[in-house]
Amino acid sequence: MSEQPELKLETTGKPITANVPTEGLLVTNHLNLMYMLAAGLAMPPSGFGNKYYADILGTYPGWIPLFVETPSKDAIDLATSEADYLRPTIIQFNLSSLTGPVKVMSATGVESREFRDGISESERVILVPAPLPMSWVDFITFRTKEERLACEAVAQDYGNVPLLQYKQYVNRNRLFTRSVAEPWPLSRGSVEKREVPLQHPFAAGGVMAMLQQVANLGAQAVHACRTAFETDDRKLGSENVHPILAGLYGWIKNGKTSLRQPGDKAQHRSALKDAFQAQIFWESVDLLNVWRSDGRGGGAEDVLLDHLGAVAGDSDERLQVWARELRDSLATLTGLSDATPTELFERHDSPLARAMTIFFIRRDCAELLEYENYRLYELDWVAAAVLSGVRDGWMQLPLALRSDRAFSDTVCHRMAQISHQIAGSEIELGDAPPRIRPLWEMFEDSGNWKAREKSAALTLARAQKWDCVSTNIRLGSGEYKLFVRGSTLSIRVPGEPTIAPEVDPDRFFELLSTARLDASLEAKIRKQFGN
Amino acid sequence: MAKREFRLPGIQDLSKDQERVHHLPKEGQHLIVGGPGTGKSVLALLRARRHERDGDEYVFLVFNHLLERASGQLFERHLVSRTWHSWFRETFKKLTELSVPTMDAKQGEFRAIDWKRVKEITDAMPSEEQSPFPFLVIDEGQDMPPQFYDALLNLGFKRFFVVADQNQQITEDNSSRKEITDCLDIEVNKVIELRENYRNSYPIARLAREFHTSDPASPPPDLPGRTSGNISRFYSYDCGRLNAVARGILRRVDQRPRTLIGVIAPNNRVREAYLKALRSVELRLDNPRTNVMTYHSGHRSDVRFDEGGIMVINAQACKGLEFDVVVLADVDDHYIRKQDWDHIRRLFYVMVARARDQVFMLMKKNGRRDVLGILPNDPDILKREEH
Repeated sequence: MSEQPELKLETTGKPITANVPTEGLLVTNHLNLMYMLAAGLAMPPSGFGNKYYADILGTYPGWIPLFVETPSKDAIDLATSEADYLRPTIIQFNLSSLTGPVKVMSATGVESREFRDGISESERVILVPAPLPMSWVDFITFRTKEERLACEAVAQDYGNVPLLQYKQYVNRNRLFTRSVAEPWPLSRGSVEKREVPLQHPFAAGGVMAMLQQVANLGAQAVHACRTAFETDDRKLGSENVHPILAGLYGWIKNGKTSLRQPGDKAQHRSALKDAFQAQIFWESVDLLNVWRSDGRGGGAEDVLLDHLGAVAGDSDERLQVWARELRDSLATLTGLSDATPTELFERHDSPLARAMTIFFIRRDCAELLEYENYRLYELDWVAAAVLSGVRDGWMQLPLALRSDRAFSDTVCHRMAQISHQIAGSEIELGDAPPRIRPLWEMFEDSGNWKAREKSAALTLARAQKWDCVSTNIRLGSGEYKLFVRGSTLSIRVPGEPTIAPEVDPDRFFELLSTARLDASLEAKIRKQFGN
Repeated sequence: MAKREFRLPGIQDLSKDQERVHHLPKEGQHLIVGGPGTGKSVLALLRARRHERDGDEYVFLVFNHLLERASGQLFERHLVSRTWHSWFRETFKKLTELSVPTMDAKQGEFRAIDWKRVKEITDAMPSEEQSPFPFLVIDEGQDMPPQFYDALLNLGFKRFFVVADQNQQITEDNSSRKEITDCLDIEVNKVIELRENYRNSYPIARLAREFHTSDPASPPPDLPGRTSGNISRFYSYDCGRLNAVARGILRRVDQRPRTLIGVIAPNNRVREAYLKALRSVELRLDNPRTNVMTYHSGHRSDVRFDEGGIMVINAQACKGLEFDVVVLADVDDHYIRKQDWDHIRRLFYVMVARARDQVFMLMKKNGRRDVLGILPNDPDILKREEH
């Protein structure tokens, strides 16, 4: 990592020529590139764990240095300085939606600037507060064709690097051959180090992905999915959601939940229990987030066991008993257990207990989505999806769970937004790409199905061989003749009968809620909706 | 049965050293050394995957049939894998038009290769350039004798990717690190040492370290940076309650059907007792009863590593394998010969390091207690419970 250079900060005066760049070029190496593609964010070295290879991201920690034109040769050399197998890459970011305070660097110094105020010709580098969403990547350029192919081959050896989703070029715009012989950094000086919140955004990304995956379960799941992606809670409506889900909006936004407290004590005991569960749930979510980030302590299951143990000694007596019993049951799942999951679901019939039980017996998000048990309800799944999403975070998710580029672009954008909101950077990234609406929501929103919805439902039902299709045959008036020949039977009717296959919506939604849909089939259905 | 397959690592999972191995050029001779769980076999499989993808001719060589089966079944593509012994015999015959010379043996005994004669034959081979030889990816390379490498070079093989761990030698005819580097003419400073633990969770690596014998030539892998994970457990059970133990193991797989549990027994008697209990005990489960497999020397069975289940094996067969959960059955029945504590520690080290997620140790309440002498007392390393 290069040393922090000394630099005089000039904060006065605006550039004479207001020229707002629409693109910026980040110089790095192929392994840092792949790490950022997996993470969904261009980020400082602190986001790379122990896997950061020196490049210009390390020069000003917390800032993303972007060249506005051809990058400096020194910057390219720095990106490959740590190991002989590193290959330089240049990532072009689209900055057209960026607003807020940045710094601009020239050969003479660094200035603070509102990005929209533009830069002068001598200002060659913009320091943008990290992180930036990888959804803003226009293209990635490699030095040679051989290096591009080698990088593609390496990327295929990882389970979470979506390199092939991005446009790639070889020496695009001659960025490598025209690189400028100027030092990196362009001028000596210091820029304040920024702490970049990444822990919560990654957890939120994991939760968004998982809520998208379970969104076809039903109305509550759809609501949770909408909530996870919504930036304005006024648009969410006032649906009567379970207290567990009531904390979701605030938690996604900044990691803080604003749970409703139960009314006076005389109210229902069940309301108190629901509020108690919601509190334990979101505290568990926070603890899991810390566990994932700092990697200390026992297993993820121990985090929940310890927390249940702690709350068991700090609440209403009946709730204490409830928490203790749940803790004891869950503890058996970490050893050689004497109960099946179904027996535990029967023993503990609250959404929190069932969600935690699933969490204990499913190692990761992919396994959770494969689980089936007739005793589980929609809310149990949604709560388990949140717990698992936090445990794995966005980066741990296999590509199969985020293969849709439009979907991952939305999540990456939201993760970056969340990080900037928490940091108070005043950086605005513009509107996130629209979220991908779950099929349930698309069919449900349509109310009384029209031709398009009926046709899409029929396509889906036929492909899945669902038993929700019936056929109405309308025959004209007249005499019908019945023929039996061998083992076949045919009826001759006058005129042309109308044959109309029809989908029973109730049964359709019931089947949709338990279906695992192939990505290509889902794409086909979306196409019928015009998505 | 639930499918279980080789999972590609996430980019965050490979260390910088592993990345260096991952980026080694195809050509040349490469030796990678590291203790159990340092990801050597994963890197060897990634190497094979790369050859497969590029359409190269390659062969993945392993020590025995069980490892060949494990590697082949977990690989998501077709893995060209062989046991080194049978491959060598076949290759030698193809290239020299002679059968591999063997030592005299009594009737029914294994006829060992006469390496001295092999050398005489291969030394006499003409040295002119021949058609390209396949890439060799060799797992557990310490288990092959040095003469094997020598012979291959004489036969014209040039492209070696060998992963090895000196501390895990199990045969009399094995190779030291120095012998492999000498044979393959690898500069000492070009050998890549893997020190970070890739497979085991922190609690398992910590437990394994309790059994590591202090051999400076083969230090244990560094403990994982993340200290999270499930603590290993030690259960003592009443002799007559083996069925209750079997129920616990079966339920564990029932709860997590992708899990492969390795029940590692100290001897055939214990292996058979556990096998019988696991196959016959009655209990209620959520899923169809899991597959309980076994394997022992001289007996070929259809063991499957690509689906969840339970595999009951002897300790001698476990080296090189990987399980999600390891159950060390009746540790009190391990024979400690002549107070050779180092031997038993090494065995426990290898057995424990097979586990990815969790280790359970089981001991009969009335069993011999001398093995307790090597088990850690710290409950943060090994939690003791009764079953």
